[in-house]
Amino acid sequence: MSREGQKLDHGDAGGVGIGVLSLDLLGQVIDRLREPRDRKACRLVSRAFERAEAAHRRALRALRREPLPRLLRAFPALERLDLSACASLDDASLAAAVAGADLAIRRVCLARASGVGWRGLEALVAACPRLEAVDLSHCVGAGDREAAALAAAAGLRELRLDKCLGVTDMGLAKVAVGCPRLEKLSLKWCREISDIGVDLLAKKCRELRSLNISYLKVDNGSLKSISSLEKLEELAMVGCSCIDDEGLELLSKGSTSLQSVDVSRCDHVTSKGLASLIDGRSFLQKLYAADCLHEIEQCFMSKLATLKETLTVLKLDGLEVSDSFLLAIGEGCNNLVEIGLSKCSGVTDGGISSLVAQCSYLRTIDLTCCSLLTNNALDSIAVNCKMVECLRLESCSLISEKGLQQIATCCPSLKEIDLTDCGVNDAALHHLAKCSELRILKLGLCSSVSDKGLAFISANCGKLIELDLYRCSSITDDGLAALANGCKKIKLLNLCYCNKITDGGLSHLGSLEELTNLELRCLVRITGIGISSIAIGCKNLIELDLKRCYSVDDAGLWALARYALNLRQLTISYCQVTGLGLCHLLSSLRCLQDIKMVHLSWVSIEGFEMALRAACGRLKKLKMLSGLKTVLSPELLQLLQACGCRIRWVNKPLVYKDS
Amino acid sequence: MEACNFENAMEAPRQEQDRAGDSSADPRTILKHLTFLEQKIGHLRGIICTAPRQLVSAELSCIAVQLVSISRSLAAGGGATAPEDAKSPAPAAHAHEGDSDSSDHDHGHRGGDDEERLPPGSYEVIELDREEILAPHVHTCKVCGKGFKRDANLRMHMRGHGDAYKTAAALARPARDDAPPPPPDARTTATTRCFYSCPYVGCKRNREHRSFQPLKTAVCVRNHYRRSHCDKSYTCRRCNVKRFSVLADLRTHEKHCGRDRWVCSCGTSFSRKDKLFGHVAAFDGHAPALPPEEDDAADHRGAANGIGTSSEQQLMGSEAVSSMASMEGISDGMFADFSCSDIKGFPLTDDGRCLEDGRGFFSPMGLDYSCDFDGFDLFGSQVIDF
Repeated sequence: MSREGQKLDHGDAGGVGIGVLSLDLLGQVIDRLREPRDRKACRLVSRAFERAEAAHRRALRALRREPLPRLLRAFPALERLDLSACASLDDASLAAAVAGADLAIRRVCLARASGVGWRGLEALVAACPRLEAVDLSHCVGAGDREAAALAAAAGLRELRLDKCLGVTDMGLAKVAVGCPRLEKLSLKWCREISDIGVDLLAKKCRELRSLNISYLKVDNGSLKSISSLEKLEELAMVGCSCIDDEGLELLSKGSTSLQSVDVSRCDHVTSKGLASLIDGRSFLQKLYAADCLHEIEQCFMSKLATLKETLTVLKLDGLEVSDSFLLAIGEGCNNLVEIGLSKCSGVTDGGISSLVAQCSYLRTIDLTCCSLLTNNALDSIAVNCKMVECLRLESCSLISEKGLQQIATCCPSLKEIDLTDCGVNDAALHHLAKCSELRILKLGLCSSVSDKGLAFISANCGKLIELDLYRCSSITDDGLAALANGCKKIKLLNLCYCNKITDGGLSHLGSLEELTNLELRCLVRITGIGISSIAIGCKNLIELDLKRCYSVDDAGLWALARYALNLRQLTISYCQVTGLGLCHLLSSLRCLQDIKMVHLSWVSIEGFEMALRAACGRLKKLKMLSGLKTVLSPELLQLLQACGCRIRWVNKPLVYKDS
Repeated sequence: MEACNFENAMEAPRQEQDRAGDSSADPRTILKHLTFLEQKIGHLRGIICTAPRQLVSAELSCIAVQLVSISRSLAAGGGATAPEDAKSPAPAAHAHEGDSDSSDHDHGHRGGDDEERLPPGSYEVIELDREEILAPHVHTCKVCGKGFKRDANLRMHMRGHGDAYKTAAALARPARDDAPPPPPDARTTATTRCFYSCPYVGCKRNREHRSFQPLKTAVCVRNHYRRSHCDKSYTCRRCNVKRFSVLADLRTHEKHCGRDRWVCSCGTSFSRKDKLFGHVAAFDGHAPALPPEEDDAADHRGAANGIGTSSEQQLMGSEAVSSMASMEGISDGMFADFSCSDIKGFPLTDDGRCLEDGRGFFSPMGLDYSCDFDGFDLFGSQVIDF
C-alpha cells in the first residue's frame, strides 16, 4: 500500500476523518494515485474516498457483465469504458446495462467482444451521445450491420475495425457517411473492403488524420483517393500487395501533411517508389519499410538525406544492407530515435559503428538476427548512444558479457533488452544488473543462465515487469525464490521447459501479486500443490499455460477454480485432469474465455460435454481434439458458435515429451 | 402534287429564316420572306381538306414560327444585334438538365463538340408541335394516311400508290436533317444543320429558354418530350414501382429489374456498387442501405449446421476416439450421480441461445459459487479490476 493509503488509515482512526476535505479535493488526490491497487486501498479504507472516487472516476474496465448496470450508474463521470475482457458480454446484457442511462462515456473498447452484435452496439450508441472512440477490433463476426450501428454515433472521431471480417464497402460507406468527423480509422484485415469504399471514405471523411488500410485488397486507385485527404498524418498499408511505386507517386502528389508511412510487406514497392514519396514530403518523420525492399537504389539514399532533420523512425527489416548504406543513413539522418534492422543480412560491426557514430539520439535499436555482430558493435552503441532504452539482440550469438558490460555501464536508461538465443551467462547478467531501470529482460534459450545470474538481476532490477526464461533449464527453485524476493512487480513470466522447477519454486512465485501471465509449459515436476500456491497468491493471474505438466491433477484445477477468479486464458493440454475437475473449473471461472484442452485422456465425452455446457456463454476460443467434433452433441457446438466461440479442432498424435 | 411541294416548302422557310437571321435589317429580305409565307398559306388552303390534320397543323405552326422570327428581327431594329433565338444556342454548354433524359445525351454526345463550335445562325431550329410528337407514327402516307414508324417502310408502301413512287429517286433515302453533319468546310455552303426545339415553353430544350440546348433529331424530340412532359404510362410489371413514358425505356428496365442489389437510403437502387457509391458521394446525407436482417440470420444458421456435420472420416482415423472410448468405462461411473437427462433436454430458445445465462447449470454437482452475484459488493470484490 502506498503512503497515501497509510495516512488515510490514520486519519480515519483519529476521528477527524478525511471527510472534512471536499469531494473535489479528494478527487484530486485520487487522480494522482497511479497504481490501481492504491486507489482500491483508499476506497476500501474510507467512505469519503469511496464517494470521491465514484464522482471522479473516469475509466472502468469491467471483467464481468453482471455488475455492469450498477457500475455504470455508480460512476456518472465515466469517460472510458473497457469491455474487452468482460466475460460473456452479449447484446442483451450490454443493452440492459446502458438502457435508459444518459452516459458521459466518450471511449469504449469492445475488442474481442465477440458476443456483441449490432443490437448491443445500437443500444450503446443511443445511450452514449458523446461517444468519440470505439474499438471493435478482432470481433471477427462483426459486419456491415455492426458498422451501421456505429455509424449512428455522429460525433465519432476514432474507430478501430481491425479484423472485423464481415465489414464490406457497404459498412465502410455507412461509417463514412454517418461519422464525417472521423480522425482515426483502422481497417486492418477487413479483407472485403475495396477501392470503391476507400474512395468514398476519402470523399466523406475529410478530417482523417490517421488511416490504416493494412492487408486490404486495394490498389493504387485507393492511394489516389487517399492523397486528397488534406489532414492525413499517418498512413499504414502493411501487406497491400497490389500497391506499387506508381501508387506511392500518386500519394506524393497529394497533401503535404503526411508524417508517417508504413509500407511494410508491400511486395511491389521498391526503393524507387519510396524515393518518389520522400521527394514530395520533406517532413516525413516515420518510415516503416520492413520486409518489402529487396535492394536499395542510389536515388533512395540521396532522397533519404533530404529528411535529415525530420526522420526519427526508420525500419528496414529483412533488407540486404551494406556498410556504405548504413554509413549513409548515419550521416543522412542524425535525428533517428528508432532504427530497425531486424533480419537484415550484411549488418556488420563496421556498419553499425558508422551508423551510430552520428545518431546519438537513438533509443530503440533492433538488431534481431544480425548474427555477424560482435562485442565491437555493442561497444560502439554504448559509446555513442547513451540514451538507448531498447536493445533487441536476439540470435546475435557472437556477443558476450564484455559487450554487455559496456552497454550496462554506458546506457543507464536501458529498459528493454532481448538476449534470446545469445548464449549469455551469469557474468553477463551480473553486468546487466547495473541497469536498474530494466523492465523487460528476455533470456530464452540461454541455458547457461543459472540461479546465480538470476540472483544478480533480482537484487538490482526491482522494476522488472517481464522476464523470459524459456528453456533456461539450469534454473531451480532457489532462483525463483530470489526472483520473487527482488522483483515484486513482475507481470509476465515465462518458465517453459525449466524442468528443474518443483512445487517449492512455485510456492515462492505465489508472492508475486502482480503476476498476470505465467507460462509453465512442460514442468513435469510440478503438481496440484504448486498450482494451488500460485492460484492463491497470484490474484491477478490472467493467463496460465500448463501444457504437458503431466503431474498436474484435479487438485490444481480445484484450486484454480476456487482462487484464480481473473483467469482468462488457460492451457491444460496433456494434464492429468478428470472430467470432474474440468466441470468444476469451467463452471466456476467466470472470466475464462480461452481454453486449450487437447489430449485430456482422463476426461470422458460426457465430461467434455458437461464442462462445455457449463461455460457455454463465456468461452470465445476453444482448442480440442478433432475426434470430439462428432461425438459432442451438435446442439452444444451450435450453442457455442451462437455465443461467439471459435473452436479450433486439432488432430495430433499423443506424444510424451519431458524436455 | 401538292404533297411533294409541301416537303420542299418545309425546307424552304428554314433557309429563308436563316437568311433572315443573317441580314435582319434588310427590308427587301423581309418582304421576300412575307411573300413566301403568303404563298405557303395559299398552298395550305389547297391541301387543307385532303392532307392529314397533323401535317396541316405542323405547317401552320411552322408559319407561325417564321412570323415570330421575322417580327423579332424587326424588333431588334438597327441590325447590330442578332436575333435572340439564333444567338442563344451557341454558348449553350452541355450542362445536363435536371430531368436527365439519358437518350438525349446518347444522341447528343457525338455532335456535342460540333454544336458548340457552330456560329450563331449557322443552323436552324425546328419546333414540332405536341400532336405531331405524340403521333403514333412519324411517317404518314400522304395518299392514304397510313402511318409508319420508319421512313423506309413508308417508301416501300408508297410504291403501291403508283409508278411515280417506284423511281430510284423516290426510293432513295431523302436527305434528312439528322444525317451526319457535313464536314466543317461545307458548313459555309447552302446545306445547314437543323436542330429541334421542344414545344414545351419553359423547358431548357425550348428555344425560348435562356440557355437553350437544341435537340439533335426528331427522335430525340419525341423521346425527350415524352420523358419530360408526358405521363409515365408504362409501369414495370415486375416491380410495380418504376414507370416510364417511353416503351423502350421500360424494356430496358425490365431487363435489369429485380437485379438491383445496391440500394441507397433514399430508395434509389443500382445494379452496380460503384454507381451506388457515386450516388452516395454526390448527395449529402445519403447512405447505402443494408439488405434486410432475415437473410443474415438464415445464412448464419445454415453455416452453423454445416460445420456440425462435416468431416466424419477424419474422426475415424484419429486415435482420440479410441482413447476416449477406452476411458468411457471409467468415467461413466464418475458421473453416475449426475443427471445427464437435464443436459440432453437442454432448453433452446429460437435464436439458439440458452435460456439461462450459464449460471446454475450445475446445481446437481453441489458446487459453491465463490461469488454471489446478487449481493455483489461494488467496491469490495476482487474480480473487478479497477
